[in-house]
Amino acid sequence: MNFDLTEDQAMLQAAVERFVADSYGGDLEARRAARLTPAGFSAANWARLAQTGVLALPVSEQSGGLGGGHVELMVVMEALGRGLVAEPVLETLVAAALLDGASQAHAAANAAQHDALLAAMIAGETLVTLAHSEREARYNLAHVGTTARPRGDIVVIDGAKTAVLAGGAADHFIVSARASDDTVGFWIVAADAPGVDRRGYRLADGSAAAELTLRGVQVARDAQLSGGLALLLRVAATARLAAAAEMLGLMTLLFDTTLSYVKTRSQFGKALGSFQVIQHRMTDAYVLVEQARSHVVRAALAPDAGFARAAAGAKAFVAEAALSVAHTAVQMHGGMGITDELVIGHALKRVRVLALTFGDATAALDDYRRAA
Amino acid sequence: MDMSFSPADLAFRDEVRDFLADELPQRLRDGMNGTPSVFVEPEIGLEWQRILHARGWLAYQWPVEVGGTGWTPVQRYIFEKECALADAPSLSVLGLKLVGPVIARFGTPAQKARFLERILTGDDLWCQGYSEPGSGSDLASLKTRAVRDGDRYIVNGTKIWTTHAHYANWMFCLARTDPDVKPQAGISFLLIRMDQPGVTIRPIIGMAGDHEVNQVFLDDVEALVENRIGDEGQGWTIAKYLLENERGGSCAAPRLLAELDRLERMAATQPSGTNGALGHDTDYARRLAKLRLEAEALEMTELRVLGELAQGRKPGPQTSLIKLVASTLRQHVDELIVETFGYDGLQLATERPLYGNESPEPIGSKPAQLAMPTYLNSRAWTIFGGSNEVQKNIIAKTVLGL
Repeated sequence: MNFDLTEDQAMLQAAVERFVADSYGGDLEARRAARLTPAGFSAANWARLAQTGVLALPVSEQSGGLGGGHVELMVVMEALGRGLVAEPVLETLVAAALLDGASQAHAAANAAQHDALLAAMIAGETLVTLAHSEREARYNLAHVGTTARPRGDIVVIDGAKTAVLAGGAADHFIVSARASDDTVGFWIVAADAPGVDRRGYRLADGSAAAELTLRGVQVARDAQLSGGLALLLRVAATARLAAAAEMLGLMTLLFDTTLSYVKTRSQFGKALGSFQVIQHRMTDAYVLVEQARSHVVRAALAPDAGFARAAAGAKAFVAEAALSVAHTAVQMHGGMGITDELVIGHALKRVRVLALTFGDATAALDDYRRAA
Repeated sequence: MDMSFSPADLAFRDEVRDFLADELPQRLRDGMNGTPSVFVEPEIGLEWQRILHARGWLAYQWPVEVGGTGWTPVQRYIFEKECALADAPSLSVLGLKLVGPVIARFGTPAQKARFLERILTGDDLWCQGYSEPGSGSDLASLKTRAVRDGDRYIVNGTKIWTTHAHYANWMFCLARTDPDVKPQAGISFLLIRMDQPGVTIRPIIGMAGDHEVNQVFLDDVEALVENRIGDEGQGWTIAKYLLENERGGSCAAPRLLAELDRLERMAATQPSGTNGALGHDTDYARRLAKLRLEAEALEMTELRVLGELAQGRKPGPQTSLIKLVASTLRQHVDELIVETFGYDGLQLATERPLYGNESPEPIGSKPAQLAMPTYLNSRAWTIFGGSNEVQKNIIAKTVLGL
């Protein structure tokens, strides 16, 4: 029984923490400026992140990645969360895992093409994101109304996608669609392909999302990834662990910032933290942070057979815990907490977005109990 | 026990309803519903104020001698309820509910003549100089200093959370005129012109991106002695009177109940993604039903306070309880609204305003676009006007005797 990080894992953690310190270092203005760009993040930071190997980490070695496991993923995402990093790491991990999983599934004819795209992604040169959600689906991953119809050598895609994370600046989309045999497949679609109408908009965390309308979009048959819904569900489990770990990082940021505030802020002649009501609320928050960490570690260490269930459980638990800690942090900061001037509000908004990644807490809870 | 309105009250209600149907423009209703922050912009609020003033109903919270309507507490409640149900813009409390009644109660005849009518006409817009960076919940520790210099005071200090200071031409301000007595006894209530040298306004942007509040720096700013309300050192007494007005607003439930009705209708058309509409999902429906139960309890508590007033008695300590319940419930409703819209509830437009022809096109629907900024701004309800922690301390001390 030993929950210490290995030397390699600790080095990885230090590398991400160094990135956070060098890129943002608690400078909310720099982060705000990065968010206000059309892409919603800093190109310079993105390039630097790619150099740290973070984007290649979860990709298998066969596909040119570093072949990191769930513990490494947890370590990286928690550190990014604690650093309130604006760059689309989670979105890239999802797209990379889909491409990686597809290329491992079959030695397909298009493998070389997909591997080239994957290599460009993990080098930070090309931004690819999953376009899966549809309004009618809410959080049901199996609900896909977009269609892919074969026509000669090509496939024609029609439909609409919403909440495409990092979709505002993506170069390619991995679009899910229902094929004529009623199975769900994934196709790589260039953002500037004819028939792709992208409408960018901002999410609560300032990131640049998009809605897509796809009208008669023509793609080559070999633009399809090998693997269907089963692949997506595997990737979703990984993404849930990643989101839970990032939320854990945000929770520690929120908690530590608030603890320090109630120790120094003085009202009625004494520190806020000397009032029992504040002490109890901080204790409740502390309990949630520790319990959330336990769930994230539990999921990261889960054997393959139980991983999807553990990740769904961690996501369900951490999403609610993180929102609770964020609300407490806002309240403890009083007026300052509701402004855009502290990390508190930004962390709350990021938690809101992560809490819905691959379904809200209820959807994750349903997956957790059904997998039992 | 009888909770019905009298025939006269029902006739009054119909009169208010007819007035709202005829006189409240759709543009103003849209402005109210399209505002995710607590206060509506003056361009919306002042137009509604002018319409009400023309009808003679604007000063309904004031004594008759200074232009009040002479309504009974029940009539006031009916008016506020009908306005809320008709989506009338919320009236700016700063002049009408806060400083107006203070001037009416503590002001000299000259002060009443000078200030009250201009609040009603909208010629003067007020902001409140209470909180300071170091004095939030502990208001009595405020440090803004006013030093007498002949017929004026020279004021120095910093005020914060100053709602609409960027629109106001006057500030009512608590300042320390005597540093040598106990904190509460050394405070005076001063009226300060905003358009004078030494007044600097720093916008504070909320986490939803709205500009409602400010920090105001006062550097050698002048306040005439003739514009002090009450005696020197009487400021704390006046401030408490004013805070009771701020905390006493007790018609919160009708609007919450109307919003829950609206939410239920919207949930009936939101996809659950699995089986039919979200509104038919048992967990969702139960959550909504629980909020409705809380709102109904709040409505009855508000009516029980009203009953005391209607019988000519002073209301009990429930005003503090109402703020506590209404603010928490408001937040829970806004959380459910944001979650109702699924991924659409995550959108946060950076443009303002979110009503009118220039407003950004929503993703999904207009209510979905408003959900996130409303939820984020809603976190303020348990903080301003005395945080919930302070409210609980007050109840524990004054009601429970602990």
